[in-house]
Amino acid sequence: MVSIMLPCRKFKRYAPMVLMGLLVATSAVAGEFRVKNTQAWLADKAVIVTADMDLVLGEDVEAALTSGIPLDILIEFAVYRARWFWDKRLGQWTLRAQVKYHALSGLYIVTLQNSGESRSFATQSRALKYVGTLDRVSLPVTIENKADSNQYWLEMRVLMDVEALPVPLRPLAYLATPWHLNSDWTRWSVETSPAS
Amino acid sequence: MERRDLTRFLMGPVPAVVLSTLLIVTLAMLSAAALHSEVYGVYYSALLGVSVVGIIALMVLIAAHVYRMVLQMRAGILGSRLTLKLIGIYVLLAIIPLAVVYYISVQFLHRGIDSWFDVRIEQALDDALLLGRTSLEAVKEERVKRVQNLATGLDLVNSKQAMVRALDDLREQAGFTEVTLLSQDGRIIASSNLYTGSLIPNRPSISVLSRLRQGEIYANLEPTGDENLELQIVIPIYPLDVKQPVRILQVREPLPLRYSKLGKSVETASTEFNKLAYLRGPLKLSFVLTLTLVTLMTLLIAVWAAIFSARALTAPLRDLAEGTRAVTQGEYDKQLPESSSDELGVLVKSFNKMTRKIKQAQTVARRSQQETEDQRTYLETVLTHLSSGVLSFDVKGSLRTLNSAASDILLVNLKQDIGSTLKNLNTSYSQLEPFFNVIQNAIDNEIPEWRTEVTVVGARGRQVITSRGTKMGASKRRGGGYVVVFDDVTKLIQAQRDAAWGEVARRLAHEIKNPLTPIQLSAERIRHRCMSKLDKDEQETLDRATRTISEQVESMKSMVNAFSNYAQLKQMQPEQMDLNQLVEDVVELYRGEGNAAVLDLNLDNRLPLILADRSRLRQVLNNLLTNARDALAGNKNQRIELDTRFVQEADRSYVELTVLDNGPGFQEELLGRLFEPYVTTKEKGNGLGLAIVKKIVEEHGGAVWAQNRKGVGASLTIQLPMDVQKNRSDNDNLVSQSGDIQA
Repeated sequence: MVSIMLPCRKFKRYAPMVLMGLLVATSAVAGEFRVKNTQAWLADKAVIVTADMDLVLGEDVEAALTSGIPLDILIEFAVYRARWFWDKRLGQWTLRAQVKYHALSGLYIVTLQNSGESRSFATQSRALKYVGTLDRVSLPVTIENKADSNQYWLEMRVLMDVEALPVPLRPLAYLATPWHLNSDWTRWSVETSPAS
Repeated sequence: MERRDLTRFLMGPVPAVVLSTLLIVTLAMLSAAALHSEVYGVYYSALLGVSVVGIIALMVLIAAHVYRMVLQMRAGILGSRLTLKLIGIYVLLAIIPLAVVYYISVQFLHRGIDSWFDVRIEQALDDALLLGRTSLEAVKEERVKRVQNLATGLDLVNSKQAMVRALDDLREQAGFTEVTLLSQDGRIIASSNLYTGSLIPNRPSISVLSRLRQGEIYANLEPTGDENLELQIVIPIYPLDVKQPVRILQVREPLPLRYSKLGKSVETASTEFNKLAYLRGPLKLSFVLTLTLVTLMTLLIAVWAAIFSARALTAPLRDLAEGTRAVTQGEYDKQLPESSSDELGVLVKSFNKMTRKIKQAQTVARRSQQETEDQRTYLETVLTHLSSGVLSFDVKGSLRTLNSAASDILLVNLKQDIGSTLKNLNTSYSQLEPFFNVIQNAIDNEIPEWRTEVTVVGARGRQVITSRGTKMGASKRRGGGYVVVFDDVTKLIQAQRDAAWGEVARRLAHEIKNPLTPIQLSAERIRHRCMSKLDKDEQETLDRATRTISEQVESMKSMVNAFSNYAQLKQMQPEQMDLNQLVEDVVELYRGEGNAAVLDLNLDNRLPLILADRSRLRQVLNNLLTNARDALAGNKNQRIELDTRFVQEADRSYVELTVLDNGPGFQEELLGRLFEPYVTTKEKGNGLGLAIVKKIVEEHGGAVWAQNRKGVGASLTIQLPMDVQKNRSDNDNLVSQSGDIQA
């Protein structure tokens, strides 16, 4: 098993030399970001989104988090209206949530950058669950024909913002696969009303 | 821009300089971004990408250069091997110090970063954090007890308004920020909040409620948005009246400022240290990466500089090698660019001076060669237009040069025989054997100068050739040899003879014919006057004497007339004629009574028409037949044979007529002079018959000769060449003689 999170001094000393090996190496506990389920429906001048995402950090990223490095998680949306030749993108939105560890209290603090709201959680999983759960998020968009919801569809993905990491960590984050946390774009249909 | 121009541009110095500058700037910015990430951190990844791409581009360019030079070396292009060797040396010189500096820098960097992290500091921070937590735990317990005490009595409040007032009092009394009373299932009963903006109080989570239901107390420190700490305490309130429901009191209060500040300080220090400790590896990687990029860029720029400087250094040598090769290939006007003033520049200048000198020498040589060529052409022109034939032979007797007149005179194409020896020429042209033998003899005996006259029987019949030979002086290139100049004097000799005989005839006619008539008249007068005065015996003597005088005078007259006719000038009148037909016509005259000889004709049917003067050839036939008949006089079995045949040889064709008889043959001592006037064995005749035959045959360009047959009789052969047309034109100006002299 190859891991850079082992609290081993010797390893840390020679970490730069083995880091290139991480290009091909994979951690035993791999992290993964996944959009599990999403519901989207039309409201007045908005698309309302409720989503459930699986956000799991690998050991490497967990170690970074508990070492005090804040992680920025981006949830990106894009709403399209279908056309016969080329779908039109009606808008694009990004929700940014920062998770960081508070060593003194042992809590994980989640700050939603868009609203400024901050909450703390006793465990990392709860914190990530909180980030990965969207409840009726409103995406303001001009709806031309609400009756025909088939015309609209939503693209969504969740990813970790590598560029928000400290500069020295960025090359590693770009090169090492445990840091490649990206759900890829998922496509969801937009309904006319919320599912019961 | 064409592809070749683009390639030349890319392989030039401009892309390298631009790339190098870009890389230096990028790496400087990258370094700044790594050191001051809070300011330039956002550009770090982009700069890293640009640096990597730039370095790869530089590597590709260098690889292209090296590949091209390897190709040039394999193709054997001059200077490429030296250039590669120089580049190798330069690169080696650059790599060694760079590698040393790189290694030391990496070691220094590792040790430097490791030295930031002291174990004791880490431990102290951990201890401080633990102390902070312990201290806060004590505060928490004390606060819980305090809340429990303050909550006493709240279970007795029944009305909602009283409850709100009681909570307000409690909050103000204890200094809480928020006090909330909730039912056991988490519903809010009453609440008091320091911040009136917060209408809805925070409810405890389900897990907290669950723990309370189990009789536990929940107290925890939570960081607020401004990074201060807030204490959340949730306790159950058990009423004294068991019938009353259990309630839950949630209290939020900020940690005392002293604790908050200390906690915040410990938290920040610990977090920062842990963060740095974690980033130690990536930090090293980042620095090593930057250092590696800088080193690599330095190395690549050094390699690039090595390529250009090696090229610049070897360019004059390459030019010199190229120039030398050009000179060896005859390009003597090659000039090299004189760009430097160092030793190589001096060498280039010397080379240019040398080629200029060679060029001048070459120009002089070419001019001299041209003059020689002009002279040779002039000489050739003179020789070509010379009527005399000129042949030159080397010491071994091989034909070296000739002019066109030589071939014209000898009637053979000698140009194709250049290089042939005289022996081979003899074999090829047997009719010219006497001519070549004379030359061979002169060469064999190394006669310095000679002059001779030979007779050959060629395509035009008998030719008299006068030739003069001179031995050439030997030189280094030419080992001597002979020059032979010759002329065809056949016509000249013939004309001289004709003129001589004409003069004789004219003299005879003039000097002899004039006194003959007075002699004859005088004899007749003597006879007339004296006949009657003499007796009979004397009359007979006189009569006989005067008759003899008259007869001899007549005879002399006819002889003089014959000479007169021989000398008389008359133009030839050639025409296309059949010789066989002429022979048959003439022979017919010699058949019949009075002609005892049997005439046999053996005529060649292939005989072509020839261009000849019919009347003259008739006279030739008459003379020959008369001679033959006279020669056979007294023979019992007289036989005359006339043969004609058409002969085609390699370079000539002719018609041959032979008259054979079975008489006594020619006297051997006369055979050599048979065709001269006054040479005869007959009692009668003036000795002009065969002379006339010879003259007519020669006028036709032919040849005639006589010989005795083996056994009995004689033969007389006439050869008439087929190209009489040419011969006739040559003879147009020649005088000819005709006559009906009987031999």
